[in-house]
Amino acid sequence: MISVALPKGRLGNKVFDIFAKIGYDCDEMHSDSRQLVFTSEENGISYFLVKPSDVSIYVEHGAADIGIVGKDILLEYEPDVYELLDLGIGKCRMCVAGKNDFSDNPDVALRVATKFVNIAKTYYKSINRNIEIIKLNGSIELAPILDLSDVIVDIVETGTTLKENNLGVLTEILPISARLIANKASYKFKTEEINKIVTKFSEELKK
Amino acid sequence: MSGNLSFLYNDEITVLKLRKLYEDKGFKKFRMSKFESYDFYAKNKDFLVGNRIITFTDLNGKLMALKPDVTLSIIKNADNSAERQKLYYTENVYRESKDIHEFKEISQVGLEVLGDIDLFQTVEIITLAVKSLHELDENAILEISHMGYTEGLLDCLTNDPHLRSELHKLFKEKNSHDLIKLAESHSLPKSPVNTAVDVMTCKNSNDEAIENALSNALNSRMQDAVNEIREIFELLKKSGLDKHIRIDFSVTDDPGYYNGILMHGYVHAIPRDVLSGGRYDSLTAKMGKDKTNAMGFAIYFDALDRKLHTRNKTGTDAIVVYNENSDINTLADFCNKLDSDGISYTAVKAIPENCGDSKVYCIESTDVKEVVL
Repeated sequence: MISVALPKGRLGNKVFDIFAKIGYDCDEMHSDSRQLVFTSEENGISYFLVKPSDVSIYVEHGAADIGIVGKDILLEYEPDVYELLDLGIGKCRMCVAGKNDFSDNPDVALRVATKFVNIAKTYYKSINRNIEIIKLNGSIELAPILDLSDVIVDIVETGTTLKENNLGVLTEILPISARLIANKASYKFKTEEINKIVTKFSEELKK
Repeated sequence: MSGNLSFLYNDEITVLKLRKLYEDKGFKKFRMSKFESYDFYAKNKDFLVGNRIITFTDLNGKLMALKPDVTLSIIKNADNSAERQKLYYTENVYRESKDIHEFKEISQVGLEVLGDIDLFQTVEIITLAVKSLHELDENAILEISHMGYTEGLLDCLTNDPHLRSELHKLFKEKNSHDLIKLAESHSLPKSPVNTAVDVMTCKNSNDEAIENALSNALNSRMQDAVNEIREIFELLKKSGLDKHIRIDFSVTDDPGYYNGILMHGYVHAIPRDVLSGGRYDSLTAKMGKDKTNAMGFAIYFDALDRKLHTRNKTGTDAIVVYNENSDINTLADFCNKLDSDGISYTAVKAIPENCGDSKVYCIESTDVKEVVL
């Protein structure tokens, strides 16, 4: 039995559809129940849906053998897991964004508002820019508008929210997509089953 | 090792079993002080797990540290010679916990062999690692790999230390997709990249892993690594321990310290490795002991707490309840009889809420009555 942590929401639904297609369907997932864990004994798999940022925690601590998680979460929390496959879906970009008329003053510390403290710190360290981090948990775009920060570091999908608020992408830090991760100990004990899922997933994504 | 020792917790019993395992192979117990000079650890910080060390100033004004590691102290105390020393330890170390962002006291059991380490000695250490894991879980797996293989592969890819370190990280994650992207962006040669991607996927059998690694070997460093693992694996087959071994040539570690065999042990229901070690001549050389080879492993009991910190017996065999009306001579005689019969007991003044499996006796005046709850 392989246990899978899926992120709640659009990405989780999309990934489950792929799992179903490659032979890991689960009838319980189609029912409208309030169950938290969905199991298919027949296909040797069980799923549970968790907050996207928690997927890597469930996998790292062995509550799930494998999971689907965005690269942003992996870079931010650096969990000790195997990253076995880039699914190439759930694509977006980690960007520095700010007011359209923003101009950087290198003589003072740049105020950066973000949820992704680790990613922001690593990026600005790589370009030797002195910064001051303002950790926010949501509505990051508000920060430069209210002059709480000079720029933000956040995920950009289409850029529509930024545009509507007279903000724009200043720099793209890195592309983000969903990854299939595995717990290191689970991978030792369930090598064959996990490799089989990775191979089938990879073949399905190429179609 | 049960019977009279049934009051021991399973982790305590396991430590005793491990000590016997090591003593039976001629290992001597290494005892060390809880403190070392901070300077000693500061010089070897990269070797330590985590950067934080608990420090304090001693009465002479010298900055001291609560030991975060045992291996470094063992090497420090060893002679710079090829004469073989076989040591084991059961010690507590003090490290930063990544999860709770606080210091943790971690119980460690491990062994180190210093001096001349030949093939037979290497197999003995690996055998002891497998047998140690068996004391924790009979289906445990010991993953073995060789630094020479990944380092040889990296030699074919780049000499740039920064890029090598990025590639190391990707090896550790088994992240072939980002490795391909990184290789493309730096125009690294294709053949070693394909080898890297191929060895990252765990093979279904160890023989297959060895054959695959050998056919992919691109230089003598990689070939030598595979041949050493093959020799070890063939010798392990003789003792039937090969079925507990998983060979994975993509597993790597810090080349500044490790230079040969690497070991990681896994047991069921524990999400991370509980045993780790390997051959670390680079570390002994770094510490000025260039004639001393070294290999060893440590088992981390903090990860095993939930699995092992249990015991079959939860209380005493009997509970003796007495009060102001109990005859003191009757009480003393009854307790002496329990002692002479080898029955453990606790004497209390009221019946506890939870008596577990213990028999309860009440001393009423000069009578002893067993109470059935």
